[in-house]
Amino acid sequence: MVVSLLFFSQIVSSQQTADTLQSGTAKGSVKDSLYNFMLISATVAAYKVKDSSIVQFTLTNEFGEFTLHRLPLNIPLKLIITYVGYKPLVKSFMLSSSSPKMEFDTAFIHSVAESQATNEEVIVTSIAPMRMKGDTLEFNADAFRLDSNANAEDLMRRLPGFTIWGDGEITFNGKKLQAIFVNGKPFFGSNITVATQNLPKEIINKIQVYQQKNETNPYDSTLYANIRLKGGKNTGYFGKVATGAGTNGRFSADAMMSKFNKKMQFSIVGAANNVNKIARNMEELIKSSSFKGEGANIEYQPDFSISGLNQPVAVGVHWSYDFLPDVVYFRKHRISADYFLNRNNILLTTTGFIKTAFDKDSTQTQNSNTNTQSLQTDQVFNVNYEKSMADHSFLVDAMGSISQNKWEGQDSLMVESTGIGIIGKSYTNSISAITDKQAKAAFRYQRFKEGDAKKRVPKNFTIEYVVNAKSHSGESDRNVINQSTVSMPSTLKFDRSYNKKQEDISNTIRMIYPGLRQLLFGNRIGLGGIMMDLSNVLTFNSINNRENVLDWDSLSHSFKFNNSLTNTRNEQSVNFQPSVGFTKPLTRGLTHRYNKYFGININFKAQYFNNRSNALQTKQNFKYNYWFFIPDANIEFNNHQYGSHESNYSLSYTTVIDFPGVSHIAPLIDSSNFWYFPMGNPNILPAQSRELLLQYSFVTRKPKNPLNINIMVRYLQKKNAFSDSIIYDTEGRRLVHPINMQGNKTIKSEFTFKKSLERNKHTFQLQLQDKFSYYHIPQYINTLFNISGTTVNEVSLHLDYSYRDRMAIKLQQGQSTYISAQRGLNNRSFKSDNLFTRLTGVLQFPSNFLWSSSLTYTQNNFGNQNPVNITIWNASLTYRFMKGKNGEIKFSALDILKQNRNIINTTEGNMQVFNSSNVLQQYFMLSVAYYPRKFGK
Amino acid sequence: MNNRYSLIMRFALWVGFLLIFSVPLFAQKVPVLRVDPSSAFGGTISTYFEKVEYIPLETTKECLLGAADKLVITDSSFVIGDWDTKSVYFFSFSGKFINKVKLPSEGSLGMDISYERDRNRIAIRSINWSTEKGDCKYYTLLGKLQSNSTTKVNKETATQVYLGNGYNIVTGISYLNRGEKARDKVYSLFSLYKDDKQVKSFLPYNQSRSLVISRLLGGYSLMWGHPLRVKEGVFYAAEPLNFTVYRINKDSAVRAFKFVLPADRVIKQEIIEKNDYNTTDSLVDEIAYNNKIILQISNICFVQQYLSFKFIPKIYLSKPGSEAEFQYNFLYDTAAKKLISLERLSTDASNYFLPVFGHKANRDGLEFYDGYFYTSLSSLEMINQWEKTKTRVTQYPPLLERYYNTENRKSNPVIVKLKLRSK
Repeated sequence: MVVSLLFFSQIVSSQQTADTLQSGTAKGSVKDSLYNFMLISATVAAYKVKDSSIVQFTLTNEFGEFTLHRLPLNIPLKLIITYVGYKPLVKSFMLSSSSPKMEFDTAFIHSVAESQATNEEVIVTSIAPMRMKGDTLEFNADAFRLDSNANAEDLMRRLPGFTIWGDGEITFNGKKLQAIFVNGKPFFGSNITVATQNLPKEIINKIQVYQQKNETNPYDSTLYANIRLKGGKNTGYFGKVATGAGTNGRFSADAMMSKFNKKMQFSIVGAANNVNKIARNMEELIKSSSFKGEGANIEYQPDFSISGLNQPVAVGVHWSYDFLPDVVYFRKHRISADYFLNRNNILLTTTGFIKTAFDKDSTQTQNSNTNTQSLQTDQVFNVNYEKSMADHSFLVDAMGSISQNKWEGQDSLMVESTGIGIIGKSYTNSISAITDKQAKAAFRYQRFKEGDAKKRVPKNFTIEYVVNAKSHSGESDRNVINQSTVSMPSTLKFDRSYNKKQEDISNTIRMIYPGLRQLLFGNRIGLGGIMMDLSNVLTFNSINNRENVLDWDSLSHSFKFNNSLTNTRNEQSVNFQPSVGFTKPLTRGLTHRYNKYFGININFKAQYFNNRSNALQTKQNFKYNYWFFIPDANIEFNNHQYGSHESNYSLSYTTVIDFPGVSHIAPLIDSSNFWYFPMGNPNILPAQSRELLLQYSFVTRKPKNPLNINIMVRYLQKKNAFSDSIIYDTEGRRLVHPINMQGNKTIKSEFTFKKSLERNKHTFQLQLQDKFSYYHIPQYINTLFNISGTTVNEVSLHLDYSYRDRMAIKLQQGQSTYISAQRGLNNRSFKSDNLFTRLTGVLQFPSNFLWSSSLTYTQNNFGNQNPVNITIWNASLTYRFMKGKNGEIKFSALDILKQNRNIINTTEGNMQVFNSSNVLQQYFMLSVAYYPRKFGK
Repeated sequence: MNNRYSLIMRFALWVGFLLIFSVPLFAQKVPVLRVDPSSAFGGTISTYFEKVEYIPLETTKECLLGAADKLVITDSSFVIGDWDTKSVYFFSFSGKFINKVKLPSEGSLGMDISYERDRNRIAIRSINWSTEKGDCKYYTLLGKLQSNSTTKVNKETATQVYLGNGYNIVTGISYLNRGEKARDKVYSLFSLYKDDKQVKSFLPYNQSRSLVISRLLGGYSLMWGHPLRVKEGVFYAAEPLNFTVYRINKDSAVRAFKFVLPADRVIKQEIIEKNDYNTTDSLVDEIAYNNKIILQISNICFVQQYLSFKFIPKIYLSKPGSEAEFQYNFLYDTAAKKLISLERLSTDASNYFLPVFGHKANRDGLEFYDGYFYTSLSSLEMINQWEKTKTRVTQYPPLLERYYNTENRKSNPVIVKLKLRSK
C-alpha cells in the first residue's frame, strides 16, 4: 500500500511540475460594440482547435477584463467569448515558448439584434462553460467532457471553486453548501450524495450555485446548489442489485430501486447478510447503494466490533409527493411516508466477570458464561405532511413502530468472596418473547402573520398536540437452580413463567404565545426592548400494567399463580409546566465590519406533577403531588467579525426534576433472581438536577481552509439524587435500598479542534478531540459511606487526506481510560484503558479498478491483567465493467489475520466489568452487483 | 446675472425637453419617454464627468460609523445618518469629524435628516417603529442642538422632505399587511405641511381600489436615500407602478411626462386593475425575489441637458453587472436623445481607476447639491479595487495617498463628489 502511494504521488507531483514549466497566459478585455460599455461576467474560454476540448475558462471581472493561466504552448487554440444576447466572438491564437503571453486588444462583441440587423449569421459551435445570471453562477454541464459514466460529483470536481472533502462535505469557494436541490427541490431526503453520486452527468443541463449575499456582510453568503436537469430528463430510475457468497457460509445481498418524476419520489430497499452489516435506517441503505460504489464510506460495512454473530435483514420504502410541482416562494405542500423493517438474528456467547468492592478489604467476583439466541424485529412507519403558506403552517408527523424480540439463553454464574472463596453458583435457562408497539402523532399549527407584533392584541401563536400510545407485552420462562455454600437450604430451584402486558398512553399539549408584552402593555411601552412570551406544556399519562407470574408445582404437576408477583397496576399522572419567558437581545453591528449579539433569556417556569398508582399488590398503592419552581436561563454572546472569524459563547442553567416511580417506591422482589433484591422506599423524594452548561465555538470566516474549535463544559449537581444503600449479605446477595443522597455531581468537558486545507485538489483534514467525564457518586455500601469517583477520558486524533476521487487515506488514533476510585473503601480503585489505531486507504486505479484496505490495532489494558492486543486487517478489490459501468465484481478479505475478539472493559461506581463474546471472524467473499438506471422517457 | 442666465437656460431646456416629444403643452396627452436599460450607453467616467473627488471621512473611535445610510450635503458640512450606531455625524468638507448626535437606541429606529437651507438648520427626526413615537430636533449645520425646538412626530410625519419657506412634503402610509382588509379611505401620495400642520394634499388614491400599491409599497416610499430632489421649491415625482411624472410645488402637481419601460420590467396593467386580494398576494410573493420589476422611479431632476433618475426594484443584486437588470442610475441626454447608465461607466485615469458607484449608489441613488452629485463608498469597496488597480496609477492626490497608507477595510466610508461635464 505504501509503495502504491509513493508511486502515485510521484505521478501527481511530476504532472504538476510539468504544467508550471510549459504553460502560458492570455489576457484581454471585452466590450459591447454598440453601447460602448465593458462586459462584466462574460464567459471567456480557450479550446484546443484539434478536438474542441476545453482547456481553461473564466468570467470577465468588474472592469471587463480577463486572464487565462496555464494555457498549453505550441498548440493551436481558439478563444471564444460569449455573453447572453451577443454573437460569440472567436479568435485563434497559439502561444510559444518564446512568446508565452498574449495580450489581446479589446474585443468588441455585437449583440444578436445588431448582428441580425446586418444579416450576419450567428453560429455557435462551442458551449460556454459558465456564466453569471443575476446572483447565480451557472455551469453548463455539456461544456465539460468527462467519462461517459461520470456523475454529478465527478462534474463538480472538475468545476472551479468546488471542493469535495473526505468527510463528504462539499464547499464552494470555502463555504459549505447548505443543500443541493434537483430542479429546485430536495432529492430523496437531505443526503446530498444521493443526487451527486447517482445522477449521471449526461442528463444535467446546469449546475447552479446561488449566492445570496448579506448586505451588511459581503464576505458571507448563504450557499445552495441546484442541479437543473435537461428537458425530458426529470424522470427516471436508478438502483442496485448485489449478492455475495463467501467462506464459512457467509453471504450478503442488497437491492435498491428509486424512481422519480416532477411530483413524486419513490424508493424501495432491501438487504440481508450474516456479516454484521447493520443498516440503522433507510437513508443509510440508499446512500450505500449509490452508483459510485461504497468507496471510503465506512458506515455500512461489516462491523467487527459488534458482539455475537448477526444476521440482519432490512427492508424499506420511501415515498414523497409534492402538491406544488414548481417552486413557489413562501409555500410548501408536501407529504412523505417511510417504512423500514430491520430484523436481526443474533447468536451471542459471552464470558466475563464483574468485580465489586464492598468494603475496605472485601471484593466479590461474579464469573459468568452466557449463551443466547435472539431474534429482534423492528418496524417503523413514518408519515409527514406539511403545508405552509406565507402566514401560517400546519404540520402532521405520525410514527408507528413494532418491535419484537425472541430470546433464548443459558447463563451460569459463580460468585466468589475474598477470604471465603466460592459462596454460590446459579444456572439459568430463559426463553422470552416480547413485543413493543408504539403509535405517535404530532399536530402543530403555527400562525405568523406579518405585522402582528404591532397589533394591540397580537394573535400569532403556536400550538402542538402529541398523542403517544405504547404497548408492551411479553411472555418468558425462567428455569433457575441456585446453589449456596453458606446458607440453607443449599439448593433452590425455580421454574417460573411470566406473562406481562403494559399499555401507556400520553396526551401532551404545548402552546407558545410570543406577544405577551404587547398584550399586557400595548406597543406604546417598549419595556427597554425586552420581549415576553407565555408557554405551557400539559401532559396526561396513563399506564395499565398486568403481570401474571406462575410457578411450576411439582406436586400437582401444573403451574400455579405466584401471589407475591402476580399483579395488576394502574398509574395516572398529570404534568403541568407553565412558563413566562423574558428575552432581552442586544445587537451591535457595523456594516462590512462586524456583528455582535448579546442575549439574555430567563424563563420563570413551574412544574406541577401529580401521580397516583393503584395495584393488586397493595404495597404499590401510593399517590403524591409536588410543585416545583424550575427556572432556566441562558446568556449568549456572538461575535462575528466579517471575513475573519466568528466566535460564540453561551452559558445556560436548567433545572430538571426526576420523579420516583414504582421501582423506587415499591418494587416486587423476584426470588428467582437470587443475587439481587430490590427493596423499596415509600418516602423517597424527587431528585432535582441543576445543570450549568458553558459552550464556546470558534470558526474562521475566510474564503478557504476553515478552522473550527469547540469547547463544552457541563456541571451537574443533584439534590436528593436517587442513590442506593447496598447491603451484601453473607450469601453474596445484594440488597438494594433506594435513598436520596446529597453531593451527587457530574463534570463533563469536550474539546474539538478541526482544520481543513485544500491545495490544487489535494485536501487535508486534521481533527483532535478530547472527552472528559467525572462522576462523583455518594452511596452506602454495607452501611459504610462511600464516594465513588469515576473518571473517563477519551482522546482521539484523525488525519484525512484525499486527492480528487483517486485516492483517500484516513489515520485515526485514540485512547480511552476509565478509572474508578472508592473513597470510604480504603481508596480502592479500578483502572482500565483501551488504545486503538486505524489506517484506511482507498485507491482508484485507471481501468475501473478500486482497491481499499483498513488496518485496526486495539490494545485493552485491564488492571493487573496482561494487555489484550487485536489487529484486524480488511481489504477489497473492485472492478466495474459493462459499457455504462453498470456491472461490478468485488473480492473482499475480512479479518485476514484472524485476530478479532470482542472485549468490553469498563468501570462503573464500585464495579469493574470485563466481558468477552463471540464475534465475526475471518472470511473471504466474492460479490457481484448490477446498477440498473434510466433517465428520461 | 449668471443666476438669471442659468434660470433662463434651465427653463428653455425644460420647454425644449417637452417639445422634443412633439406634444403641445395644451394637449391632453403627456409626453412619453421610453427607457430601455438594455440600450443604455456606457463609456468612461471622464466622458461624462469632468471632476471626481474622493473625501475620506476621518476614522476615530468616536466617529466610527457603519455606513452612510443617509447622506445630506449642506453649505458647511456633510451630515451622515447611520443605522448601525443609531447616530447622525457631522463632518467638514475635508472629512474632519465635527460632531455626533446619538439617537434613542430603544426599539426599531426610523431616522430622517433634512436640510432647511433657508433656515440654516438641520432637522433630525427619529421614531421608534414599535411604539410609533418620535420627535424632531433641530441642529446647526455643525451639529449643535438648537434649544426649545423639539416637536413630536408620528409614523406619517417621521419622514419629510423640505420644500422651503417652512413647507415640508410628507408621504402617506397606506401599507397593507397580508390578510388585512383594505379600507375605503383616500390617501394621498404627497401631503404639504406647514408648521407641522397639513395644508394641502396631492395625487389622491383610494386604498381599497389600489391594492397593489398598498401591499407592495404603501404609497410613495421615502425609505431609502432622498428620492425627491428639490430645487427651489420644486420637485419631480413619478407615480409608483405607472411612472407618470408630476412637477410638484407648494401650489400644484402638474403632469409633466411619463416614463414607459419595457413590458418585462413592469407589473402588467391588468394585474393592477384586477385589484383582488388573491392576485395581489400572488404578485407580492412573485416579486419578493424579483430584481427585474421596477416599482418606483426616483431621484428625478434636470441637470444641464440631462434628465437624471433612478430605478427602484424590490431587491438589488449584490454584484456589479452589464446586463439590463444591474442598471439603476441613469442620465438621459435630452439633446442627443441618448440614455446613459452610470453603472455601465468604467473607471479610468481621471478617477485613478477607483470605484465611483457602489452599493449605496445602487440602493439610494445619488444626492445632488449645488451642481454636484454625491455618493459614498465603503472602505472595503475602496481598498478592494485599489488593490486590483494600483499598478496602473503612478500618483494619487495627497488625501488619497494618506488614506491608503493609514486606513484599512474597516475604516470609515469615503464621500465621492462628481461634477458633470458641461457642453
